[in-house]
Amino acid sequence: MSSRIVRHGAVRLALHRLREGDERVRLLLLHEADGSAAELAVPPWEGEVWALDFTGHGDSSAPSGGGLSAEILLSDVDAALQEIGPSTLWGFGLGAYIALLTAAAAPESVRGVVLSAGRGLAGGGPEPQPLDRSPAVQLAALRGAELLRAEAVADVRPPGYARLLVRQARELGAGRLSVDERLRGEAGEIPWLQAVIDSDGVRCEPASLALAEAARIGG
Amino acid sequence: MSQETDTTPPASDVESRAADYPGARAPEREFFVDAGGVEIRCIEWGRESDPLLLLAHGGADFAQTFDVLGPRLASAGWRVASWDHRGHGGSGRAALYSWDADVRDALAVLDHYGREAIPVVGHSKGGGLFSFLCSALPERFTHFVNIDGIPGVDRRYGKELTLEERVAGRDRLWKRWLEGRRRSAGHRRRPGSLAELAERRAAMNPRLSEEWLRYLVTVGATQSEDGWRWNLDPAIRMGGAGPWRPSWGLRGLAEIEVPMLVLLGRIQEPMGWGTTPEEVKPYLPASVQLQAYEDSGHFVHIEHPERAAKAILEFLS
Repeated sequence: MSSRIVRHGAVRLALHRLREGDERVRLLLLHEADGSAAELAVPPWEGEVWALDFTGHGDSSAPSGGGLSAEILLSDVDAALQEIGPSTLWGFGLGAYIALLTAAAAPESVRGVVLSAGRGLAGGGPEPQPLDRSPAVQLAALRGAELLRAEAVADVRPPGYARLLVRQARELGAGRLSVDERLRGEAGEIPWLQAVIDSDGVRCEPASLALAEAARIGG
Repeated sequence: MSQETDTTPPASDVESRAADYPGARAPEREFFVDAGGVEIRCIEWGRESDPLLLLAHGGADFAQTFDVLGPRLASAGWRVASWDHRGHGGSGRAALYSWDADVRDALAVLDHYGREAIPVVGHSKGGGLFSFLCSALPERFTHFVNIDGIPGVDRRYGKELTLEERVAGRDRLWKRWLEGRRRSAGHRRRPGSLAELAERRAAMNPRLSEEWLRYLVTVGATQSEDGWRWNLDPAIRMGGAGPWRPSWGLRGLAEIEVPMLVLLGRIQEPMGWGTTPEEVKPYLPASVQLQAYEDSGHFVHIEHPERAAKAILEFLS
């Protein structure tokens, strides 16, 4: 494994190459909540395999003062893709949601997306919390990386918004969108995920099949 | 010409003189509060023994935007305090910016002054911050004045945009967001003369006088060898790009139990929400006092400092 640091604003992002291979067929893994690239197994894949540590996680820097959001995490992935080039994204838990965001927001850099299980899939729920229970107030006692990690899973994930993201990713050419079929059982509890599964053009299939198809199409 | 006979004042002196503003007074005290690792600059006017009144400024603005209103309130017997939001004015530049982080910074400032309930005044984003906190932590506040800081009803969604329109709009939003994030590393604000910065600001605040905008440059920008630069971290992205919609900002307003005065400017301009009393009234508590200024834009307290101060003081009394 080799690693490099990507400067992203005031944050230093750790980007790890887990396996060398064909650069034209590139896979970027996005870890779950409270996780890191170091915990990810290298999957069967013909080309290069990379993994990113999100801001405040793994070997990436954990700036003080909080302020992390799903959109910041999306921009972490964008910075990684700017560094390594267009890739298929395989996201776990929190990383799955961020992979979907990236497919919608930076479709030119995404060749396909596979969403798999992991911590942080539900985020902060489908609608904002009552204000007295909002993370803005509830997380006030936390500091440093602990605050960042809590913020990473506190964002609101409305199902209508997820449908919009799928539509945008599809129309703007982000490649194949797949949900690991093992997530079907969890989707009833996670409205954004159910909305994705129910969207036109999204395949619910084994992750191994999704990856094989993504690699066949061209990473 | 020798130095002894050159009577032309240095450029910096000329610019300082041009920046005087009637009724404006710099704060008497300044200190910093630690907000989880970000240094927040706090300022105060008035006697320290007087009761506390906390003011919050708007986005892309500064605590010293209250250099006219603050002293007026202080002269009526209040210890008036405010702070620069993170990345603004003299506060520290943070690695990350978010609404929640701003809320927690506000809490850090509140906590600095203790747990006793206090009255607060917020303009624009500052009004939004205090709306949020008055809903979440009503026991911390005695009175709340919101100056043109209530988001408008979401007109875009009210029009029932088609999915195609929403996809296209979202695509533009994402592009702006990601381009801004990509640029943020090492990016510095564009320098200019004092007059140039005032002119740039006038595009956002067309109703404010050149005299005021020049004054604002002297308290909200820093002069270096190549000119003045606004003390605003370029990494701050106004508006964000997430699922948030203005209607979320109206949540909880109707349940605010803290006595509330709302001052709305009727004249729409680029920096404000353009919220009208008619559309926002259903979202406010029945007990709210609402004053609409027909002859004011977003900066009610700068266009009409006497009227705004009088309204606030009467409400607090």
